[in-house]
Amino acid sequence: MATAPPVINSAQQLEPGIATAIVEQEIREGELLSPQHGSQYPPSNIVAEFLRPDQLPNPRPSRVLFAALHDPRLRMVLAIPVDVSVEESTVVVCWPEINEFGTGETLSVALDDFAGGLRELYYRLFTKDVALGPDLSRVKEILGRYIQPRQ
Amino acid sequence: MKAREFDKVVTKLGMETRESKHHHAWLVHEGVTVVRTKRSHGDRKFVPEDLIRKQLHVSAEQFLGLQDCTVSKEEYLKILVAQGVITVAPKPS
Repeated sequence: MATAPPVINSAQQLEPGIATAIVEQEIREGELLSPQHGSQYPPSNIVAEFLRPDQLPNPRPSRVLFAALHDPRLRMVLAIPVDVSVEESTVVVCWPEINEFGTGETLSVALDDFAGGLRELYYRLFTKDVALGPDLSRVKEILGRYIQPRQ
Repeated sequence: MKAREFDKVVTKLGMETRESKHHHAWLVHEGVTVVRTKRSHGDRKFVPEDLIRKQLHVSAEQFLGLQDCTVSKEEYLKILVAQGVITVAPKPS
């Protein structure tokens, strides 16, 4: 059989440190405890604020500087400004200058995905004797400003 | 956008593909690589349609046309020429 939960009519917020608590002998049986504060609820130094989900601060930055290519043959000479957004519960990072992107469940997974795509793109565009159209030539030129082969 | 819709467009355009960490696709026209796109592996992975559209240099309407049968490969190549993504060499006189 379930017992009824205890009803607490009053409580006291003690100062930090050691304080004297009321001992059992001081409370007579059947006597109601007198309130230890003036108002209905005990004073508190905890401030609670309730916000709608759309008003909550975004824990992710909207833009990050990317420089983690993770390739021993390549080095980054400039950090890439990458936009961060969330679509359908997926984190999407995008380098708008060349429309290269990465996706993932978290920001770090999305950035890792972005790095993988960037490496692949770099090697394809910098393959010897590859003929490129105007747009991919522009992408190659931009990539070359950020990524260089390690000597 | 679903992964199979992406694959449908890639197949329709006869893009060269390469499997690595991603499913990469390259459009090679007359020996020149002109367009690239990609998607992650896995049928249930999110495919960012707007970014793929930008990589393919098409509008939302044209992209829908590529997914169904209203925009053919030839029409797509014309779009790329109009956008300057494919340059047409002047004919010798």
